[in-house]
Amino acid sequence: MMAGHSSIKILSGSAWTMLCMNDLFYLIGDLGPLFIVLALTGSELGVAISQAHVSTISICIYFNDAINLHQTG
Amino acid sequence: SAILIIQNLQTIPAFGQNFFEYVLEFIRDVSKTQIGEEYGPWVPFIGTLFLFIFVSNWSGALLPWKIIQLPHGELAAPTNDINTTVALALLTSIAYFINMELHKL
Repeated sequence: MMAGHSSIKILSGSAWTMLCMNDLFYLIGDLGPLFIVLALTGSELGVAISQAHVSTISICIYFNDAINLHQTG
Repeated sequence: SAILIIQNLQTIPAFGQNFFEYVLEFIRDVSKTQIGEEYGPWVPFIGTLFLFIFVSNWSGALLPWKIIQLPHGELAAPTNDINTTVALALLTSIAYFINMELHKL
């Protein structure tokens, strides 16, 4: 959590500074850190989806045990 | 927003209806695959848990809530607090035992 957020903050600052340089070379170079920031945001979305998915699968497996696999006697 | 979409259900789904149908299909498919024949009654429960966990974690990951100062404690993702996870665990346990009772042979 902290490492990812720190990376995004630093790279966002770098991207913004490069944009403010008013230089074509820096404008093109700006795409690097900007792309990394977008990629990190996408990976956060991916992690959130996978965590919720794993939780849901686990709950479904418990229900499967209760409904189908339990024994009596 | 889901309620708003439901007001205008159409045979050929539009954007909003498409999105919510996709979410429902995903949750129902997960339930069907894992639970088996009697998955129907439990789809709303599992869907609620999935969406709650997803939105909580995602909101926690996207925004550094700690920048908002509170007099006591700090603002963070709901799942940071053990009370949230304990509540989810209790709900699942209660539902599990209900299933056990319903399916005694």
